[in-house]
Amino acid sequence: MRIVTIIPALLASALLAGARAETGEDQARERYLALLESHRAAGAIEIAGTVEMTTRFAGEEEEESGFRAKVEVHAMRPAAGRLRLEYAPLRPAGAEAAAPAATTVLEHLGDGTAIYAIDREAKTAQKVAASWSVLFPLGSLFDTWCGPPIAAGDIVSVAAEAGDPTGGTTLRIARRLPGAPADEAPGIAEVLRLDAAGRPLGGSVVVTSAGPRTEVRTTFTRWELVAEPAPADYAGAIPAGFTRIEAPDYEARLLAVGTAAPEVSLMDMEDRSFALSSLRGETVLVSFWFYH
Amino acid sequence: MPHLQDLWSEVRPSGKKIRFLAVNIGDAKETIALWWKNAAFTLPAVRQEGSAVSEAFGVMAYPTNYVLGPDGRVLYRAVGFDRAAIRAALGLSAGS
Repeated sequence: MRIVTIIPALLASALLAGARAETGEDQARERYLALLESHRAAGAIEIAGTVEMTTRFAGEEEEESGFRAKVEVHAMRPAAGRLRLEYAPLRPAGAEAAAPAATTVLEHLGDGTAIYAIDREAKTAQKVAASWSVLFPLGSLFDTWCGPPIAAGDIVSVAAEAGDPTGGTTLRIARRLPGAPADEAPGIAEVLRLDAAGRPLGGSVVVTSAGPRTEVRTTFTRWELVAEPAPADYAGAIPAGFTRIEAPDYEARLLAVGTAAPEVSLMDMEDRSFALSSLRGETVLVSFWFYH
Repeated sequence: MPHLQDLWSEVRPSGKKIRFLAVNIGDAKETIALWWKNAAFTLPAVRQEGSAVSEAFGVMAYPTNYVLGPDGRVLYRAVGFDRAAIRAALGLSAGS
């Protein structure tokens, strides 16, 4: 059965006027700031969703590398919470056959001051970071909700779209990355779907790093603010009997400032060998990295 | 690596006597070549015999960055990529 509703012109214009007010930038901004404030007031945020991270390089032919991940996070400000991450690294195009992608499961727990990598077989909890953003690229998203407060000046624009059949709203937010200069382009594009009462139903976040080469795309399927998190689920969630291991000091063996660089030789991509000392007279940035 | 390339793109045309060495550990030459080609990096990629150079520099985590002065002495070293600190060690003006 098809129902046709005829809306009188006067009523239609009133509805449109209401919609215009509803979609006003100021109101949308207020709604967004209120949402952030409610996150700060809540004990924990529970999010489940899919995260896809792809790194796009600006070459002649656009290629992709990075990883795809499934994430479940239970997060509480400032760092407590737990996270289960399954990810499969992608390979540069053409290298697929030589290096098949592996899936790794990482589990992290926080105790309110730091985040620990959990090894259930070895029963160890190794301190890995103080905040999610240090731990892995995606962490900046969790810090968005669980970490440092977002400064009002970082918000570039907020637009609202009404018209959801359930009476909800969709907010489209453009923000700068934390700490980015005021004249920098927005690095974060958020879409938040809210129900009629203004509660978040889900949404997506795309973070584009300076470059702009790296994109982190997150889609949420469940999002709850937990006023009173169960202590067992959050603070002190490292299981009893687990050994806590301090983070290794990765700088312990680095050469001290003022030390002469060691006599070593390197190879270029044409297999030509050269001594590091042959570059004396120039300032040299030596960056150690790997792809795999 | 994109961070380093961005910095290199800024330094190279400036004519400053600064050399960048992106020292790889463990990747096959083909993997490096492919990544560099796909990413259109102009930064010179450098390899080492085994892990001899990483060990000589006491590297335990990646990325680790060193800045060596013209006299070959260590001016700066740290794990991670701290753009502002690296720029300062290279003698580049503050900003961006």
